Amino acid sequence: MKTTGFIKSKALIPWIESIREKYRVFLPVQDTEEARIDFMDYDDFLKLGSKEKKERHIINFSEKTQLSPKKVFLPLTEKLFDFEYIKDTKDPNNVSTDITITEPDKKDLPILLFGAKPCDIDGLKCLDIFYGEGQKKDAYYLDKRKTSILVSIGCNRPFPDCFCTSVDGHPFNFENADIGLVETDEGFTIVKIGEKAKKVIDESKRFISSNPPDKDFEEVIDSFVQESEQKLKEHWKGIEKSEISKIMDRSMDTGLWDRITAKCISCGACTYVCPTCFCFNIRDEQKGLKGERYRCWDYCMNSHYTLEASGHNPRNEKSKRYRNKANCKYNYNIKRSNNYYCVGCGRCIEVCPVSLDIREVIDFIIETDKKTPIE
Amino acid sequence: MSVENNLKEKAGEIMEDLELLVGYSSTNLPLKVDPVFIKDKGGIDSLVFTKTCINNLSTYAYSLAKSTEGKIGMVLKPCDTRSIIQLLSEELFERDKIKMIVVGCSGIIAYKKVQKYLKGLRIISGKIEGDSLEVGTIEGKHSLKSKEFYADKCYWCKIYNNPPLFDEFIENEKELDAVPREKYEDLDQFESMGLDKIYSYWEEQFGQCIRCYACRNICPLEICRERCITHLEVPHWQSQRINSDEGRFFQLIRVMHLAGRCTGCGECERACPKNIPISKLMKKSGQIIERLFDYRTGEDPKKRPPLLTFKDVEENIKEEKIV
Repeated sequence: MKTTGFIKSKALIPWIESIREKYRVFLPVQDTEEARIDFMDYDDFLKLGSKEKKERHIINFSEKTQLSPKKVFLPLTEKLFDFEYIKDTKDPNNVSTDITITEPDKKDLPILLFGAKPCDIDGLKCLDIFYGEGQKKDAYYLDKRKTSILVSIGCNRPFPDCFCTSVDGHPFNFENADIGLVETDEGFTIVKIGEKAKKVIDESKRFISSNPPDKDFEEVIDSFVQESEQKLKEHWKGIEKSEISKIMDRSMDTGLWDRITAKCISCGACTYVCPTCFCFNIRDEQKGLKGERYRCWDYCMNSHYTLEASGHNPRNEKSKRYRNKANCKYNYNIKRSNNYYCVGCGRCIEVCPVSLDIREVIDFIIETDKKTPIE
Repeated sequence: MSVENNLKEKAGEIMEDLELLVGYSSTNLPLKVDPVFIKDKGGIDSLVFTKTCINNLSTYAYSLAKSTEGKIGMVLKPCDTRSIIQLLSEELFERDKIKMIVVGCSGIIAYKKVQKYLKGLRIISGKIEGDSLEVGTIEGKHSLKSKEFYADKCYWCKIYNNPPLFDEFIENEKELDAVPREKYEDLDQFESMGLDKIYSYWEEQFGQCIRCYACRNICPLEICRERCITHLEVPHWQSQRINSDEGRFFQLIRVMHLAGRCTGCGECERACPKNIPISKLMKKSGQIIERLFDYRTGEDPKKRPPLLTFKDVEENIKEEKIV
């Protein structure tokens, strides 16, 4: 891997301080007391309040965050606009009303997401396809994404539930990142600067030294890459995209999915931590004449997700819901955009209260398919 | 013979009468087990019983009792039987529907507690040998003592080898080695920090709630699940917004709905992907119910839960003193 610069560990925070005026910086922050790790706005991090609270929060790049950074671009709840019905006060008998709509100010600074793992960045690419390609484009998402800069740190030490290499990913894949970094004891080596990131790098020249501390550095990085890749390949053998799509098409039998999901409790933990799950709900909530339209996360494991106004529910059983979820990740979206909608981050495996492992599910389907004679 | 072998043997004996057996099997994930649904004798070999069998399998009791024709065998720890007893006391299914195979327990390691000790770092390896617990994170290995990381309920457990209700009982040759604590000791300590601090503590915690409803869906007693007020459109009690106000509303409604029903199994807290200490709230409601109605959940299937019935005069309720 070619290196193009180096940021010393000590220079990192001063660098972020220097760009804070121009960017909203998000970093992975660990709450050491409550055992939580999540992306946090650097401004919020500085405003944490009491001394104890400040001390228990630390920036941590080596762990995986609990929620993926999709929440930075797709907030859990996002106000779309305010509305107000206006009645004719002079003539109360006039029932026709006017409506005014006020959109929120868009003065937000561009977002700089620092320290996301390559799998997280791949997850954002899936969201980009969903929200940004096709006939209808999502302005709310794209407004944030267009100006944003994604800084990715390579994954030196993958976790046992990670399997990015089995779903077209790589622990050092910086293809979708604007800046690619490799972390070592001394600091961060820059291995990629994309077109979008040139400006911020130019502005930050004084924090970047041109030479890595060690002249064999590129070799050291290459050894990281190999080691990490080797480890990941042992976690799951995976399957070819085109093949799994066909197998999933053949495996729609409800009985099969009943068996797979017997232990599933049908909660939304797996979808909410997933970097590629893009489903949302839009609602109006009104008090008197004033109200707000907002968008919030929604999850397909909830039976109300498909409940129709007539009362009919096409996915009333959890097996049908989970089948849809697995197909969304390993079939439908492969057909739609030739991408797995699973980046192998392993978050769903980690949070599942009943240890339902997507790798085992896919393996089970492949095995069952092998045993089933082709008609 | 080990408990595990005895369990397999017993399961083999009664499997013929069962339509389904729910038990624990092993997984590759460190310090976790996998609930397994066994339909024939061949599957029995996959059963395990270790110190990591923290899941309360009675979570599946109500839905299986409603959807299965035959009898369901269920591997339970003595504390898990409380959930079944509570469900029975509410007459939610017939006693003979669930065959309770209770296995004596010598303390269960709480994954979340270990993770909290590790300050939130992920557990990438775990090994239990005797009373030592070895866990690894990407930063390094830690040698711990198992008995310091048991689930909270283990520390005041008196029924670990003496279940209140069972069909088959497999005694554990090991004793529970936890140093006993008073049940409400931690609550007293927590409450001593004063109302202001308690309030801001919970505000922060509720702000973390992403409303994935894992806590609700894993609860053996929250049989309402999909018929929850959170999904009601008319009246629209709960907004779908995800923020601390809505988190607080949802969590407190949960507490109210489980007051006098929660048996303190701690599954809600275990299932929470954001590590919110929910069971602290549940425990408090249990304490209040115990004081007001002299009622402890999950002890007697014939006793009516206090909030499912009423008395003209409640001896312990003196309105001005309720705090």
